[in-house]
Amino acid sequence: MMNNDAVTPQLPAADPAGSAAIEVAHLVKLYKTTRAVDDVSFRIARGSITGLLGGNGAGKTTTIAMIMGLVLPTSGRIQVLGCSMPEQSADVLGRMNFESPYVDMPMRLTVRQNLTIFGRLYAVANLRERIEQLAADLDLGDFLDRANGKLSAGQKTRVALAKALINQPELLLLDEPTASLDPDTADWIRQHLETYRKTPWRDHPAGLAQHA
Amino acid sequence: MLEVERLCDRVIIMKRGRIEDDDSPDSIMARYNRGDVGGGVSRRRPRPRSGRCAMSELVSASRGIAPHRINAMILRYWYLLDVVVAASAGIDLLAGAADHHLGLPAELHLAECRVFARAGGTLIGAVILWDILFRGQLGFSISFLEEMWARNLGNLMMSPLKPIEFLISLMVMSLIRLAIGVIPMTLLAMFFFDFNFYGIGLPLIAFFCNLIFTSWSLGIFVSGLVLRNGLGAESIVWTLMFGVMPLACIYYPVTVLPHWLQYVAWALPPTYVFEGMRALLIDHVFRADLMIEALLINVVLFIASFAIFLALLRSATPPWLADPGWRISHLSHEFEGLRLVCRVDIPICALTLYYAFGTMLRCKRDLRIKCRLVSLAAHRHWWPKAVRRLRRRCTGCTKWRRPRSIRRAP
Repeated sequence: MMNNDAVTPQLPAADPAGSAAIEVAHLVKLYKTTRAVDDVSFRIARGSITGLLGGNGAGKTTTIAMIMGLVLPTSGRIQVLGCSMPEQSADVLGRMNFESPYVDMPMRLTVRQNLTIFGRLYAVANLRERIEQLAADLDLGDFLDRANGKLSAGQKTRVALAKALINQPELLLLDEPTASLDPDTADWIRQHLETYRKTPWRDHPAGLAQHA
Repeated sequence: MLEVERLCDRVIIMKRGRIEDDDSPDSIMARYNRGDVGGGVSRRRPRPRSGRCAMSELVSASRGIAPHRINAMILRYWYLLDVVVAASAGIDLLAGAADHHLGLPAELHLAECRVFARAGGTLIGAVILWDILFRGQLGFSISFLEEMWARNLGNLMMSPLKPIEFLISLMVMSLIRLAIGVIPMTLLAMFFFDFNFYGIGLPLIAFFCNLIFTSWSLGIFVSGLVLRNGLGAESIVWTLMFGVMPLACIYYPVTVLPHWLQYVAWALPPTYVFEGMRALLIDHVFRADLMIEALLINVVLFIASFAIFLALLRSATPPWLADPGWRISHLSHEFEGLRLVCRVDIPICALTLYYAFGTMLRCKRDLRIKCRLVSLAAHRHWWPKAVRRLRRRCTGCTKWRRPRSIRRAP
């Protein structure tokens, strides 16, 4: 973990056992002459929730994209759940999930169809039961067979959260999880995330929340 | 900040690509209130690592393909297909109705005029093969754009779905959409123009494979451009094929092109297919050499387009991840469907009719056709003056009588 008072950050030690959910060392991303990410190092332990904050152009999105293996870093080392990214992204992406207000699910498909597709993508066993369980947990029952495009903002966020939890991820990346929600719904989502974090069936879920 | 306080055990603050602060929410709040945040940033600049070789990435991208993920993606497009089926059926009916209204079809016996039959058969064959090429690329790209319009690409890219699996599902969907669009067209050609497209026989498989490979290669390349540059590059999806069209020599032999342009034409696999088709339908010779050459170019094209797709995919921060400018309203999404029909299917119908009609005009000996032209003239008040003059020159008639079929009852 980085010490704020030190001039040079303590480098994360090698983590063969995979005790850290995310481990980033000396990460750099150059776009032509612009340094989008400049020597970033941090380590996020399993079972913790970390917030990544910053203004526009601070490099949050690029950092997250590199952690997920979507963007190749110019230099540096990334380990997610004990696997190095982006080389082993295929092994890791099935164990994590993502939710963002800037990403939608297909509008014309119903909530159930959407969850079925993502459940299959993540190779979820007993998918039908899992969808029913998520519908009960997140209160989706009323609109499970309604087109995604016809839902309210709060309902869409709940559906997006259901998609993010469908594979019971070990690592959950949330981008502004309660953006554009009324205070009650936002509170409800926060409570649910807190509950998920303490679920007994997953030993150490970790989260990385990103905010503008 | 409430959310951070409630949810997070730890907060990392980034500024200009560096970590500005890293501590518990309480400590950070306390420090912000004191106003002494800052410092603690590394000054070390590590040496840049060279990028991964494109070829090694190409190989690793195609490893460990999982059928269940491809099935999931096909299912995703299948759920949407009813809309497409309806649209295609509507367009085909429209084309049929337009044909019938113009009086082209039923009494047109191509077999009565050999030269005409050959020319007409080549022409209609070319139209259908061009449609395979065009719809193949479009079917591929529409499925891809569907993800862009729905803003779903972020979800897919962050799932275990591999680029190669995504592309395979798009290829399968392109075949399904192609079948929906082209099979009715071939049946119409059989019914109205007496041209049996399937009568081409086994060479049709060679033609089809080459055309579909080219369309996929172009589809993959264009998808990469859209991924990299956003929906601003979308217009390339619709127009690229029309750029290829004059060079692919669909309706004329390669030799009519200027000498220097022939080299460019021969670099495109469709040129080989259309030359092969003309050789088959006019000279009754199957040019296997042309097909093999086309296949080799296709293999190179396919690998190159996949490598470019991967390079474009990795080259920039994906704007679909966080850029609000990528938000597209549901309304504009619906509008896309309409624009698609206008841009794609209507020009194809118009082109088909134009060529069919043009061929008829050239065949002056057939009285039946003249009769039909006269019946067309019944609607002359719809036509501009230039068309009326052309009709007069082609048919040689200055006076006309309303044909019995459309004469008004007394």
